[in-house]
Amino acid sequence: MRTDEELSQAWCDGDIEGFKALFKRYQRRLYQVILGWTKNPSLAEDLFQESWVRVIEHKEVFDPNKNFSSWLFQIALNLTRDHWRKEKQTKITGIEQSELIDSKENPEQVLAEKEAQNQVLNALGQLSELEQEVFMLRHFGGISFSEIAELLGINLNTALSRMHQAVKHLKKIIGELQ
Amino acid sequence: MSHEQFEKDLIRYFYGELSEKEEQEFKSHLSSCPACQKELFELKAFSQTLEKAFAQEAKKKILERIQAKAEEEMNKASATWLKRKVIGAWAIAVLAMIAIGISLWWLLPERKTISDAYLAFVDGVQLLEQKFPTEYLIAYEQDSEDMIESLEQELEGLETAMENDENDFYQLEVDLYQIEIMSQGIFEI
Repeated sequence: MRTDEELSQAWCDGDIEGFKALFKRYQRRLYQVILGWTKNPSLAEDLFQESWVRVIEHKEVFDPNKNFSSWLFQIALNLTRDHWRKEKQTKITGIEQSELIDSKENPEQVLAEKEAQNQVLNALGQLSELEQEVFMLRHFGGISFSEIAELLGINLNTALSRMHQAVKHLKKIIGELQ
Repeated sequence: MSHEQFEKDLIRYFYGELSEKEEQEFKSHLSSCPACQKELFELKAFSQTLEKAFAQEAKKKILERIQAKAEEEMNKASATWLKRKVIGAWAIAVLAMIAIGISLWWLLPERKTISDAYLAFVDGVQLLEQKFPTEYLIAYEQDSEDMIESLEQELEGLETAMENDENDFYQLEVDLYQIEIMSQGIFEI
C-alpha cells in the first residue's frame, strides 16, 4: 500500500489518482470527526465538503513531505472552530435528528442505530471543546497523540489526559443511557 | 512500574501507540491484572458502540462533487502548464533567433559599430578636405558643394544616432553606401 507521502507527492506532481487514493483513505474518517464535533449531519457535510475544497485549492502550499492527515484535519478543525465562533448555539443545540443513519437497512435497525447515534452525540456534547477535539481526532481521525498535541498546540501529556477524561465521561454517560 | 502507570498506558495501548518495549511490559501486566483487563474490555465495547453510531459517511453526491472538483482543478492546472509551455517555447525561439543574429553579426569579418563608423567617416571627410579643398572642389565641379552638404548631413545623422545610442547596423550600412556613391568613389568606407 502506498504511503500518504507517496500519494501526496503523486498528486502534487499532477497525478489525480494520488488525490483519489487519499480521498478514499480519509473521507470517511474526516466526516466522522466533523460530525462528532458539530453533532449536526448537514453542517458536518458542509464543513466536510469545504475542507476538501480547501485542500484541493491550496494544494500548491502543501509540502508533500509533511503529514497529509494532520494538514487535512487542521483545515477541518479551523473551519469547525470558525463555525463555532460564528454560531455558538449550533454546537450546543443543533443536533439534527433526521438523516443520521442511511435508510437502506430495515426500519427497526435504523431506529436503534439512530437512537444510539443520538445518545453518543449527546454524550459528546457534554465534553469540553478540547476533549471533543482530542477524542474525535484520535478515535475517528486516527491521528496519533503526538500529532494531536502539535495540531492543537498543546503538550503530549495534556492530550493524553484530555483523552482519558473524554473516554471516562463518555463511558459513564453512554453507560447510564444504556 | 505501578498499576496507575499501566492504567495511563492503557489508552495508548488500545490505540497502538506504545513502543515495542512498552507494549511487552503492558501485556505482561495485563495478563495478571483483572482491573486492567476489565478496563480494556469496556473500552472495546465502548468503541464498538461508537462505531455503530458513526456508521455512515457523507452523501454520495457530495463525495462525487469533491472528486469532480479535484479533477477540474487538475485539468485547469494542466491547461495553465501547457499554455506556459507554449509561451515559453515561443519566447525561447525568439531569443534563439536574436542570439543567432547577434552571433552572425559578431562573426562578420569587419565588425562595425556606430562609433567605429562615425570615426571612420570623420577621418574620411578630413582626408577628402585635405586632398580636395572645398574651393577646388567647387571650381572643379559644380555639384561638389551639394555633395559636401549631403555628407555633412549624413555626418549629423550619425552623430544623432550615436547620441541616441542607436545601433542599427543595417541602416548604417545603407547610409554609408549612399555616402560612398555621393562621394563618387573619392573615398571608400
